[in-house]
Amino acid sequence: MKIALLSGKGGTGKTNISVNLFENLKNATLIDTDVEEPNSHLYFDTKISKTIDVTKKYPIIDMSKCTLCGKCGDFCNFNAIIPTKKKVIVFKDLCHECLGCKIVCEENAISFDDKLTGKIFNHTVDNKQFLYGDLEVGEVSGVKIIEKLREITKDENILLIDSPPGTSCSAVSSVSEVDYAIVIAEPTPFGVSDLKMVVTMLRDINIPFGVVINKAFTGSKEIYDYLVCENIELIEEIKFDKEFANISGSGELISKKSVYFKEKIQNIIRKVLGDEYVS
Amino acid sequence: MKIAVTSVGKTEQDAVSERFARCNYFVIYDSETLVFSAVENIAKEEGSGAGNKAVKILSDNEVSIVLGPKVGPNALEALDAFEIKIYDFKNAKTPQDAIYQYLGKELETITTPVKNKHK
Repeated sequence: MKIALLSGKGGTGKTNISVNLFENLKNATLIDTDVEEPNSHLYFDTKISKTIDVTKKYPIIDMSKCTLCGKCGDFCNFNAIIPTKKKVIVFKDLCHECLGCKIVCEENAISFDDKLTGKIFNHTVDNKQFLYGDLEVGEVSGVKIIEKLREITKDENILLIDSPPGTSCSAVSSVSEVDYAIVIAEPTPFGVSDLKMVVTMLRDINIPFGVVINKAFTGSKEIYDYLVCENIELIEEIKFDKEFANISGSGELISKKSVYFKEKIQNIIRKVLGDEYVS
Repeated sequence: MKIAVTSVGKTEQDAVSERFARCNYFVIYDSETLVFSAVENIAKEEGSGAGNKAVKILSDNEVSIVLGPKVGPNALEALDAFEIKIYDFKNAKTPQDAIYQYLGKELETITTPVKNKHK
């Protein structure tokens, strides 16, 4: 079973809940797909490591064939290839690797070269596998790294996916083809607004989901009304506690220090997966 | 010769824009007809590569000189490739001010990009 943890709004607790679920599962693999700013690894003692380079293709122009017709530039949605008066300039970082410029080039002047777009780090934590991706500085899209992470872990029995915030391409690729999504939401107006966007996205791509309200009993009741109104399952509520922030801030797993938190995490496992999966 | 100025509004009396790629308009002065006109900068809506596209717009409008704020490495590379010179308009308040200062040879060309904060 593949389970994505996502939130819409940043900072609601995706990573905290992901790493604690991972800790409390008998057997599971965790991937951190928030490749723009991965941080799950900060919670683990990750010494044994294997690194995988992820490359992307970007266009190079054969100026002996190019007629500066401008079609590649008109085609590129990301302004990564710009035909000028005397040459065609390519901005490698901006390229999304659609390879479309080659298709529209009638002179066959375009070929491709590889460039590093990010890295994947493969660790073992308590005999369980943990991987995270890290996007190169300046690169515009982490989708390629996320797809690679998903490909590497496609045969895992229990896979936890710590997703990026938002509902953009990278969030979509991190949740695509999962069996279930756990949406971590906070009971603030901003949290509810972004929750609605995530719900729209998940319904659009037909992924069953439930909601965990984190930092509960703060903010307003709006989120509860919304869940009832939309008939969305409330999996669990985790109270706001400054001590949790202190524990997390010092790089420790909250479920190792708080009985309350551990119970909440185990409850989530029981509800989503079943009793037998709790470590 | 056409000289463009990054501008908040459509006329030479509006405020200059401190943003290059995402300014609202380029106010363009034609030194042959002595007429000001304005081009909307549609590049400002781009998710990425706005600087490159803004330079393309300038080139399409036959601009050979642009007066603006300091620019980033991508925009500077594109300006160079399109053979458009950029001058720092420093403390000019309006496009008209900037043009006067340029014609009075008070402005300096920009040859090094502002530091990319992400690198």
